[in-house]
Amino acid sequence: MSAERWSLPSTWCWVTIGEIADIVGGGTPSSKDETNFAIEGIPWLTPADLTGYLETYIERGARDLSEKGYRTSSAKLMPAGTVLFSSRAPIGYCVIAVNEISTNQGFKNFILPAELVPEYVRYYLISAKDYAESIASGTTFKELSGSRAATMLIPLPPLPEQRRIVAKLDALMARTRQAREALQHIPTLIEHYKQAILAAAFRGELTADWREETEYEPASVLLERILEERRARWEYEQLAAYEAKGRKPPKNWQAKYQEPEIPDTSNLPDLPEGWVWASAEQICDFITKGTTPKAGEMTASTGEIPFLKVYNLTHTGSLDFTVNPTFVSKETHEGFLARSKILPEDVLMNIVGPPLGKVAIVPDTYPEWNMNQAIVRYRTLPSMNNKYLSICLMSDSILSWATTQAKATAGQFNLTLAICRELPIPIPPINEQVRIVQLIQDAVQWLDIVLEEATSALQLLDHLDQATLAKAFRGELVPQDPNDEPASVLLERIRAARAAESNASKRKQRGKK
Amino acid sequence: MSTTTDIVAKLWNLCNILRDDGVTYNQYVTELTFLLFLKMMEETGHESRLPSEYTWSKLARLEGMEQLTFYRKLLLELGDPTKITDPTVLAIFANAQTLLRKPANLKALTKAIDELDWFSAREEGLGNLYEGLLEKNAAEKKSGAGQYFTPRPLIDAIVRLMKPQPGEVIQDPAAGTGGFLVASDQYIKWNTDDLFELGERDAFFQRHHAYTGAELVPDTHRLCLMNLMLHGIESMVASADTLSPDGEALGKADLILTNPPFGTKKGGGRPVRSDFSITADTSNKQLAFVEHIVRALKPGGRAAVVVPDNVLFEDNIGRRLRTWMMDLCDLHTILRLPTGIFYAQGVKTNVVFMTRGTTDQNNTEAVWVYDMRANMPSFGKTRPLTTDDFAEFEACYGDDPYGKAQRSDTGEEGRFRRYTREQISERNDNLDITWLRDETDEFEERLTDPDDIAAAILGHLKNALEEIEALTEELDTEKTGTVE
Repeated sequence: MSAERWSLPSTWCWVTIGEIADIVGGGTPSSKDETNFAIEGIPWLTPADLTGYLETYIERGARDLSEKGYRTSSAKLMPAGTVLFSSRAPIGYCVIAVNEISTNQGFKNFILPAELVPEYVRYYLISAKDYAESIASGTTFKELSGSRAATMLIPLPPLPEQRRIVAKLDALMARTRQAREALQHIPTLIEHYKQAILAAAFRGELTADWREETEYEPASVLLERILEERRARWEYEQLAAYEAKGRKPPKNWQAKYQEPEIPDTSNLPDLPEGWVWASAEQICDFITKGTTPKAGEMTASTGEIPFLKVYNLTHTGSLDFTVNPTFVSKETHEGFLARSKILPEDVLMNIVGPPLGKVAIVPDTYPEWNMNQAIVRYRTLPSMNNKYLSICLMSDSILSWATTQAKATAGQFNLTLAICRELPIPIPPINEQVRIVQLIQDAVQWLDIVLEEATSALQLLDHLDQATLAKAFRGELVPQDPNDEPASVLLERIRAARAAESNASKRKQRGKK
Repeated sequence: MSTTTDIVAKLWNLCNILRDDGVTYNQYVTELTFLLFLKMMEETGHESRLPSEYTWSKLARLEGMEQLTFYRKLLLELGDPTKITDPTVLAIFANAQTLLRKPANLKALTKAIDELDWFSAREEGLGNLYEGLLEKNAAEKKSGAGQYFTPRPLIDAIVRLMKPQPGEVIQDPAAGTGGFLVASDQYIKWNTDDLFELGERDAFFQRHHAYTGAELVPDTHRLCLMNLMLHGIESMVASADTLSPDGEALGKADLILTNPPFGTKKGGGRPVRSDFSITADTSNKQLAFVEHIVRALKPGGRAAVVVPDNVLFEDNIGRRLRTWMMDLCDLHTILRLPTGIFYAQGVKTNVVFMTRGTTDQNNTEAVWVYDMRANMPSFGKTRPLTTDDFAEFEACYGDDPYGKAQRSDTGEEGRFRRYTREQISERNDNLDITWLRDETDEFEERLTDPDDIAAAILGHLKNALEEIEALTEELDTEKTGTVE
């Protein structure tokens, strides 16, 4: 054979699979007739059975065929040791039968002569998925026919060398598999760690040492100050509103001020010394959500006022306005959406989930923004640290209060504004807030790095497997042994045997399974 | 117990004084060791071993720069072989230096040490106190001292099973801070009424010749000697590298209990012992230690060794070692340890129990494996290892230190199974045997302490790294150096 995919050691040679193996397809009986299938009958495999299947060998698929199903389909029973190769949807799954088995028509199966080690052929086919696809017909849905499969080139080493290659690949792939399994634990653990450290932060554990060494103003005093700021703000806005209308405020207009709700701490955990519980509305300006204007009033990609939806919020507290940016006109913003104006430094959170806990601090990319009804706005008062509030909102331990209160219908959580306002927030002294924010940011940074590294490592492992396989089939993975009977001799034997067999079967031609 | 914990806590808090002077956790215990040694010589009435001018009271009386200068001189002199003959004193003060620079700090230390409740401490055993300090040091992750400290519940379980006897030579070729030797000695003393039941000569043997071993790292060696001395053991553990020709001089033992250092090896270099045949060509130190142990056992001698997973499954040299080991020894039991019990992060370890045969062939008929790893609670700061955790294993192991007690296979769902030598051959002599379904994910779900979760993350990263390093080595069959 002069065709070759790359150059091989002298004791190897290229062959086409059709020259050395019998290629057998499969079939499916009518699925309308239940009696074609059995719980325990004739083992039968479909490509779907191999999704996520990592083992080398297989006994059977999810469904067996009954005698009847077998007879009425073109499925063919093949011997143990047959290499089963999926030829569509998708091309490239490869396993070895440990017992007699049949397949559906999504396979091209290779019954090998004794001179070929099935495990060797399997490794090659796995490494040659792209090659198989290139030979297959079709554009969107590729399928490898039997006749095309027969033209696939396979490098043939001496028989002992095939075994050496398999042993080496087994050992190496076992290692990458272990490494992959280890790395796959990491993303979940990282999420876990993030929540664990947030919970520890709000129990005061991260800053316990700091608290012992520092003088601080108790949070109760801080809260008093914040409440005064809240009142002062309200009064300022009221006066401004009256002035805008050219009116004087009536007597006792200040009495209209509604004190925010004090949280009920009876069911809340004890706080460390110097901390105090506050409701979200005690530490923020008027808390509100947005609303969605008529479709015609929203524009995509450009516009005057950016309009935020839940997909712009993240789990890390940053805003992502690159996703589907939407805008509304200034008119809508000042009119229909006036109550839900958003300013830079506001803290936003989603109120429809799961998942809840998507938070963002609004940057100053735009001077004003707006939002829909799935988002709530927390505008912290000056003496309250907004970054601290944002990490509270990312923490399961704090949000759990809200989720237990929320109605869950059909698996969806909806937080009402009342819940958002009454949400209890543990408030530490102001310097401790800053310290906690720093510690959490550091932790999140570390976690991001670890996640990135783990993800890269996983990708590299795949490359490593590919490279190892490529090396194997170039004859560079294990050394050649000059005493091995060369592949050319093997090939002669195989050809002779197949010629003899084909003459014999021509004489006995019966045309039945 | 509480007095010891109190004193340990107080001593540990003294560490804050030293941190001021730039002393790290690691150096702290060494620094404290010098002072404690002097104080304990006074408390136990052994000051005759020291030159009279260098006693504790002479040091503690001084103040300011005078005290610090005196202390520096003391450290130099007590480690000077031309001036001191007592080998223990010499070894403890070998190359001794203080990192203290502020006289006020030294004064605070000597004052604090004087004020501790020594009477109660003496009652409890100064040795326990010192071990408490060592354990605290090991638990401080930053110190890295964890690699020299095997958790006490594990040591105790192994000693209970191996039953050290008076008259036996007991060796730890990777002694660390002396945990196994001390525990063996305590076991023997407990069973002989503090050596009272033995005759004069036998008691002398126990005190002076029963224990041997080596520790490579000088600072750790110092702590080991201190630990032995406080427990009344006069035998000397050598400051040496077992994997060098010095290791041959350790001699033969009736019982070997050890936890050789694990973790990825840095720097190249192979052990260079002329008597090593199997592991002469590898830089894997754990394998080399195993070869040492097999060779150091007297015929009929028994051993329990803590080894990482790779000793059980590594191919080539690892496999040859295991085959050889199962020929020369009856490798009767393997205990798969849970993860998270060592202070070093994320290591997977096992205890291998074996008896050296009187012949050199076919000594292993079957291996019993106890899986204490799969589906175990996550050990860590919030869930430390305790003696109870080993109760089931000890019951399965049985009463015979040689592993020959009547045992039963608990079947596929149980933790204790028997594998014949043939079954192991079929696996290519790979002893990394599991059969329980692994539900790690569920256990990791339940972790709450950030440190434990971080440990789990690091453990996985470390595993992945080890696999890849091993794989790289296997890919390059021509390369012989270590992989960085």
